Amino acid sequence: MKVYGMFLKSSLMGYMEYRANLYAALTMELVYLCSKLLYVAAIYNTGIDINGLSPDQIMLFIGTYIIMTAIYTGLFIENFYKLPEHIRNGSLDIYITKPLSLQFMATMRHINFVLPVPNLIAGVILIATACSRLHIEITFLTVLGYMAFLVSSTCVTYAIFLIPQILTFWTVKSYGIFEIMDRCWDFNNMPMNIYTKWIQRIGVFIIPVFFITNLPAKFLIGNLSEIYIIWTFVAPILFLTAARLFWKFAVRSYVSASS
Amino acid sequence: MGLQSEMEYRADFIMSVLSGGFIILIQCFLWTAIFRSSDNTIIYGYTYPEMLCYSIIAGLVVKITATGFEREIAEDIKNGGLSKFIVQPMSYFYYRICCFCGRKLPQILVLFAVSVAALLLCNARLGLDIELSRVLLFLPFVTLATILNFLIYYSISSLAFVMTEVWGLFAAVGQGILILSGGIFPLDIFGDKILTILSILPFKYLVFYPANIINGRLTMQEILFGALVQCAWIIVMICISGISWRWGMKKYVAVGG
Repeated sequence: MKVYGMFLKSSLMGYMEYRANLYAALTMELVYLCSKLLYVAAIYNTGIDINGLSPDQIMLFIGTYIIMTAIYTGLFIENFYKLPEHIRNGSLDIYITKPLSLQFMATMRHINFVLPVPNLIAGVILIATACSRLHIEITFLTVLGYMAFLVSSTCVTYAIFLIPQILTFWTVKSYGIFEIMDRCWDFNNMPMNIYTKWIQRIGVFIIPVFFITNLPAKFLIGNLSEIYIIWTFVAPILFLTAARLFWKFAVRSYVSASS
Repeated sequence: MGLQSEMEYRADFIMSVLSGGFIILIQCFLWTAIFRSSDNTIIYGYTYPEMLCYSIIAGLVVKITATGFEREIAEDIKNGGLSKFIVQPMSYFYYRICCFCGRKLPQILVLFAVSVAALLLCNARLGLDIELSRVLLFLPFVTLATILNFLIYYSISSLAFVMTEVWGLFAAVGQGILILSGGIFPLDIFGDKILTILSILPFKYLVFYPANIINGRLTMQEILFGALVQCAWIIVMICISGISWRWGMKKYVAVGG
């Protein structure tokens, strides 16, 4: 934790050094946020209940999606995007020599303080507005339960979005992988109810992209089945273990590009 | 060179093309769910077949007109790679156009095949009567849209002369253009007032216009007007890119040997 605190401090200092880059990144995130909010506007303007979900309930899902985007962009995305670069130019060697877990160093070294801010604020406002309109009581237990689901979603996010990045140990050029992963993330723009039952099952249990934003929102609505509650505890353990094993397998085949 | 570069990493190329299909899938599922849940057969002025056709064709047009060279230009400016073009008897603008065309060729071949399949699907399964004349009109429009998009991004890339890290700005502009061009939702969702304002800007003619030519939602008069506006904006963007790059080159400093 002490080491992670140092990473937090150095990341913040790095961001404050070049203010123009800070403002550009903030602008970028604001524009992306607008495109997510466009979905809210488009759904509200139709005034339709979509596959059993009212526009207010859909706002809960989109709000959770925006909060999870804040967590993903803040904690993981920069590290995942830098991983192919480290592998290609051999700078992964420096992390190997450190007395810390290579996976920890390579995937959690950088924390982004700028990109999450607009998403966190907007996500919380959307959730609060939706809860108010749906008359969902915000108690300490509700908040605690929702946070627990977000923690579970964060663990699964880390695992399932790291696994494709590990492929760059073999593929070298990875822009296509980034595009595919970005698009997979976009599947959460809307609740999984819009997809067929089989796609929902695959998206929750096999490639748990829908797990990330749908289960916390379902918890708030109060229609979470027992199987989903059990899966909330099992999925992070399963996928983190899978990511760890795949990482160790990939590192064994790593050949440094540096001298 | 552009073609060779694009085909060097074939897995990467295939994944890049596939990623465009994901957006189309999401939109198709969304609109199917909306129309099935609604008593209305027309939403935002579109019937279900028209909306689905728009989502598919808009997704393909976004992929066809996409650029991607702006980061390379920013790298050339930042790392001094631009210097070799100053001393050579070769215009950087024409170099970039040629690389762009080379890279686009394999993408366009694949996307053309996918577009034909998509149009046949729209005709057969959606009952949308897509006329061959509209498909033939679509082709020059999407070509002009690609040229216009190239010029917009070429102009924006001159910001790399004044900013060290421009990736954030490029991403913001890219996403903004995607929204304003109708790449996510048809522009009709914004209402008539905003649609009128967007009619005088170039973005509407990148995706929304070509996609609605196929849909059959535009009259011949509207199509001709759109073509005139597209050509006018291409001329304007040629001037803007020339001015912005001349201004940027005055600020350009390459240090070291």
